[in-house]
Amino acid sequence: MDTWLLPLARILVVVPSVLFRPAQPPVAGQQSLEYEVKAAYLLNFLGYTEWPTAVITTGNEPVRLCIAGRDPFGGAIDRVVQGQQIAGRPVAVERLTPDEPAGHCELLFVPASVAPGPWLTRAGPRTLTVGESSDFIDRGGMIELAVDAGRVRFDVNIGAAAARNIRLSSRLLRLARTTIRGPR
Amino acid sequence: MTGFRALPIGRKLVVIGLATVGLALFLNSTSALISTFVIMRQSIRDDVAAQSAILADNAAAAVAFDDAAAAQETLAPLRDKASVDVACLFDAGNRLFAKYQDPEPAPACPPAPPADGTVMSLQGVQSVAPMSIENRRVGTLYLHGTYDEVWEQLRAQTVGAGIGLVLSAVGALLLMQRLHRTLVDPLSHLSSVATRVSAKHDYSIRATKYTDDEIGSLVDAFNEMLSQVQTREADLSKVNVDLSREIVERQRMENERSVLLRREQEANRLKDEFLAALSHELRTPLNAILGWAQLLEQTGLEAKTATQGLASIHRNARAQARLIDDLLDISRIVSGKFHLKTQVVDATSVVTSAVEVVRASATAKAIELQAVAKSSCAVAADAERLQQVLWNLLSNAIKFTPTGGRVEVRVQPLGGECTIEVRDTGVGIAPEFLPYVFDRFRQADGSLTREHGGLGLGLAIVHEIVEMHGGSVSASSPGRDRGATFTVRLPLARGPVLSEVPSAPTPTHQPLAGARVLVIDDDRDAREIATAALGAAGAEIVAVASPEEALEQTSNGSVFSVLICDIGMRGMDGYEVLRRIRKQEAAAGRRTPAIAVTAHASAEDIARAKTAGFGWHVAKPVVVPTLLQTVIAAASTEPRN
Repeated sequence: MDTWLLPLARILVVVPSVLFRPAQPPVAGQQSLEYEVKAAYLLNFLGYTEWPTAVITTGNEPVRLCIAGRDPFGGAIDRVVQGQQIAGRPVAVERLTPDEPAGHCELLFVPASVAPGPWLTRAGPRTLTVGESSDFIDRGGMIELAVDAGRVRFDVNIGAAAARNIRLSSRLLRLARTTIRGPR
Repeated sequence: MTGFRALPIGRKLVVIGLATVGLALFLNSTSALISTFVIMRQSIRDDVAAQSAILADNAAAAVAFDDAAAAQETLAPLRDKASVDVACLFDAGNRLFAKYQDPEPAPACPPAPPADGTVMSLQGVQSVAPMSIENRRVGTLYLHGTYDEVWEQLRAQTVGAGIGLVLSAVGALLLMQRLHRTLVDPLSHLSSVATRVSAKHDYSIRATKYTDDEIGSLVDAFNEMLSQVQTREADLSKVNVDLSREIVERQRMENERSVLLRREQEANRLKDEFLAALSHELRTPLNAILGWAQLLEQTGLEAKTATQGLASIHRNARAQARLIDDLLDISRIVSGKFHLKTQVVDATSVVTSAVEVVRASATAKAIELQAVAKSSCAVAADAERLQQVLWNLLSNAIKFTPTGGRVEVRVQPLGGECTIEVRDTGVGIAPEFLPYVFDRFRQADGSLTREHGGLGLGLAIVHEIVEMHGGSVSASSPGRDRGATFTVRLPLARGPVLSEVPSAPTPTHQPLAGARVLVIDDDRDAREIATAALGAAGAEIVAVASPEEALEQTSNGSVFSVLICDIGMRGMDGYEVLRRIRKQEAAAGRRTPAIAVTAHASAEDIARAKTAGFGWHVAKPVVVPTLLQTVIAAASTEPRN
């Protein structure tokens, strides 16, 4: 499902933004395509991340992909992770209420609609933090998603990741728009 | 191929060497090229496959995060990779996402990614690999590798091999031109020697052996062959010489044979003539004897005529007996059984005696016979035989001397020899016959109608006897009708004359008086002659006609002084008769002297008679004086009781 969805999303995002910019396409549709791409990116991030062996859970426990606050994916995330595995473990989507702890999550997605501050403090020792706010990495987040020229790009705070001994693949880092080393 | 065949061996070797080296190098290079091709192709395949795996891994993130520029960047290192000319990245939707192409014309990306895997084709290697993140497929990498590197390598290798081939050929050529001499030079030497041998036919030439290999053995074998040929040639020429010598020898033998044949034919002719003469000579006296015998049987013959007839019979019978004596003498001479009883005698007395014997016949022809002996002449001789010689010569002289002629005998010692010369005034001897006068059976006139009788044995016997005495006899004649001279030369003997010459026996009256003689003969005439002759000498004769009667006589106690026995009798031969008589006598302790009287007069017969116990042998026809003398001799040996 993901194999055809991603390029389709790109075309659907890029082509209308170039050709039909003056016109007003339905925002909902545009929104949903953007999040379909982002959902795929989240899964990709998991693929290029290595957790410290001390904190990684073993066994058949799922890799938890937590969404903080209100879910912007509208079901796309569930479709993306459906049947996928990371390091031999299934992926489970967990939607967290604003007061819920996030220490157990392997990935914590902080949507733009949610203030990242409290969530970042709540993140656990093995939690890869991904956010949408434009100061996310400046506040100590690890990966910040941004839409640039109709494409979903990302910036990385290596210092934050390194502080938790989370190692991001060089292949991932090579694709980052910008890479910073702090704050932690 | 005929071109190659005509090449000298050296060139052949070069060609063969070059071909071998060339083929070896070509095969080697080809196999090297093939293995290079296979190995490189495989390595390119592996390389492309490995490359695609790495690239797929590297480019997966770029594709997953939709970063075309980054994707392009991951493909950028392929610029340094000559083996890869095209790389294409397809996203999850199989759309072309990014690509790399060599600046040179290279195949384009396929519209859609082919199935995963690595495929080799003639054009190149195609590798299709999945791009995944955590086993999630995010795209496909298509990589195409070229064989350019392979071709480049092969080209370089081919050029190298070609250069190597040329260098090897040149090297081999140089090496072989040097080496082939060791092979070819001995061969050319052998070949030139062989040519020289066959051109000059000189088999003494030898090839020199330079090497110990097969050519060396060939040279040895060739030399061996030459020496064999040489030996054989020498043998052949030797055989040729032998052959020609043998031919000459055969020719000589052939000539000898033809001479012998001619001689034999001559001898045969002589023998034929002799036989004719013999039958004539035997028949002539018989004519007279038979004629007179018939006349004497008739009654009323005048006493004077009868006396004349008896005298003729007597003369002719004696002539015939002498004839037979001559024949026997010749036979003995021929068979080497003629023996001499030599003693020293005076030749003069022998001559005188012989002259007296023939004087009667000379007187009858009115020939003057004269003996001239001036001094005695002692010779070692058998007196009887010497007398026979002279008698023969004198008889001949009288025979061939016409009435009124003259015969002279001279005896004289002359220069250590005793010379006896018999000279006549007769018909002489033709010069052409002179060399043959002493040959046996040879007569000057061989025809049946010849004037003079005789067998032609007389002179032959003379010749033989004289020679046996160690002397010589020769004949000379001034020519026909001018007389002839025969000369006998005998070596003079030293020492006294031992015995007197035996004179013709003059029988004393009744020399056998008181002797009893048993005559055994189945021939009546023989018995009667013996009876008459011996009876006249005073012997008492008992004559029997068969062996049985004889044995009867001897067994009844009669004692005889002498036995006279015929040998060839019917029923029992003389030997057997004597054997039986001797057996009877053995009991009485007697041994009567026995005389064999037989026509079997050969030397063997005489010897056999002696062996059988006969002390004497008298040949038939019986000559009465001889018989008488023999019986007297035998009787004198009888031990008289």
